Amino acid sequence: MQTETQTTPPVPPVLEAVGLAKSFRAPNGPLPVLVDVSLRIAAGEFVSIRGESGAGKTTLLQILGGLDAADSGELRWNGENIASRSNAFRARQRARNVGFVFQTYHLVPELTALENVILAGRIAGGGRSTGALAKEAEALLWRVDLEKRISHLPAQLSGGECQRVAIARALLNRPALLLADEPTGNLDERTGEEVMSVLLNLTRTDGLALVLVTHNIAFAARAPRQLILRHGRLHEA
Amino acid sequence: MWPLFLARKQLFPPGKFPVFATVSILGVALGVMALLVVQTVMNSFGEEHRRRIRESSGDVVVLPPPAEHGSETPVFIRGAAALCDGIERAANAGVVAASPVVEGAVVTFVSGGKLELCGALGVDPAREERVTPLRKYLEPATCWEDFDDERVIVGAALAARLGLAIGDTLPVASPARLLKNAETERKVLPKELTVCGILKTGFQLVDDKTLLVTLRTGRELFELPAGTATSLRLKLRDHRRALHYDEMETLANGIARLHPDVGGVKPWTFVRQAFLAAIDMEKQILFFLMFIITLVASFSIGSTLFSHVVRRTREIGLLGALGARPPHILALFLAQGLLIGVLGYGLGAALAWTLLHFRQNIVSLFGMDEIMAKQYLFSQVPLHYNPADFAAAAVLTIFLMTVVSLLPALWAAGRKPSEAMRDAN
Repeated sequence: MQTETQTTPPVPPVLEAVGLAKSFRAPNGPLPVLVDVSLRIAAGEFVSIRGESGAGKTTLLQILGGLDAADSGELRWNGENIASRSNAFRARQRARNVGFVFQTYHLVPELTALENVILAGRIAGGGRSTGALAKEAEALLWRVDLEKRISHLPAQLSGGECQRVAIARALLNRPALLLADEPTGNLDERTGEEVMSVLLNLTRTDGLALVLVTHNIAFAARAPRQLILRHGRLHEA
Repeated sequence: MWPLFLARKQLFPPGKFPVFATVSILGVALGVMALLVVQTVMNSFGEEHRRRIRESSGDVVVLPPPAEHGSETPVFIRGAAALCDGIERAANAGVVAASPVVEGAVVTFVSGGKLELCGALGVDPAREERVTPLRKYLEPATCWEDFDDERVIVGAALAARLGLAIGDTLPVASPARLLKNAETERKVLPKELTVCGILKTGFQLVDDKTLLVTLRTGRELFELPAGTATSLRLKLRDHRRALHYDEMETLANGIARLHPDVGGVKPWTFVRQAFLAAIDMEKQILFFLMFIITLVASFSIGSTLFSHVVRRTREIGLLGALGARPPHILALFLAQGLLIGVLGYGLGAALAWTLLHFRQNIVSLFGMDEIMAKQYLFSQVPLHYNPADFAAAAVLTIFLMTVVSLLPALWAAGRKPSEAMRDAN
């Protein structure tokens, strides 16, 4: 069963998944995680995905972000099917089109907040000088209220600050799509609220599409479009 | 170049003591230091021995014609002095001086009726000092002026063994002369020579066996005709030319034109061929042993590097999520191995240089001065840096570090970002 929005988004989709399926090897045979999942995300759209632990939310997000490949189905970024393209191509496209925010921040511990943000730009390439990247990274850190923390190492930052650095890093390459996997999962309620506000404000301001995977019903409810992943299938909430 | 930047940051994290980098770099440095110290010491000893061989035998030796099969007549070069003049005039291969010598085995009669077999070297003092700096090895140096047909200069080790001092008398005879005594009615007594000096070249093979006599005395001992020599010694403007085949061929052809009855020319390396080969082999064996030790150390560092890479699984996943491709991940961890190799080599070379600079103090600290002087006749530990040894150690270190870091780097590059993130959580 596929759960696609009933109305076609008014703007072309930045991401379109058609009939995605994924299973993992298990001692008793293949264990299906995703079954015939289709999804269309329009530019600037905010979609939340909920589901029980082990429902396959992270796997879905990784496939949508090109980090993993589906066993079958199509995945289009800006209209181009990337499911059949090489890993190198997907990596290049990922660097430019998709931003990730993870539950555990995934900051490089040896780099300062500023260097962590710049790293995303250096990996993506695109001919920007380190100086230009530094200016953009500083501006982003200013937008997430970390202008006084740019030279701090992750170990010197709180969880909420680390997540804000991760958000700034995800935005540096001006992606069309932001994939956030439990971004508040490691934070207390108040800090989680702050991080969510930052995330939503920035994506709204910059017109980014946001796919938020979360357990938090309140955060998920803020999305105009809410989906639930159950038994490998995606349903409208 | 972000992999290099990140490699540097990961090896030397700011605000933290870089334990992994320090241990790895020290491991490489110690291996490099041991390799360079051993190679340089062996090289220095070899060079010192080569210099002493050259200084005691000349740069090139002109050989007598080969003996006829079954002939017992000693081989020699006739008209040796005139040939020396001719060779000097022709100056082929940069010859600057030539000197005739007579060499052969002799016996000396020592107290208790014992015989001591040694070698007599007959030289023309005036010509010889233009070819070899024997004079600087004499004690006292003034004995060269007193050196005549009735006097002998004795090798230092031989003199010590025989208990000879300056002014002592030494009876000397050649085995050929003694045999003739036995075969004929003629009785020729050993020649009585007075010790006038001690020869201390520091080259054991010379100091242990040599009796230095004049050319005329040498001919008398070996019953050679006047004007003959068993070989000629030549000095070149640049001794390295002796090792060039073309130069030696030109020289041999020039001499053959002057004097058809000579047996060719040989460079100084031929004089003590077996000894030099032994030195070279010793150096090669030590290099091989040090290479094995360095190899073991490198694989140990490789194992540490693997653990380091496995600990970075989360970051491998993150870099993949940010768009890094497998070649970037490979470069990141290869760069870490390379940095460890380069810094380890630099530190190892510096440590080796420091140890070698203070070699004399270290030898003294362990009370080895006496052994050094007795066994090797070195009052100072010689030092001769060979840039090729340093270059070889650099190439070897960087190659080994690249090889041992390749495996963990390939492992890291082969990881799927999604799996790396899953495994790290």
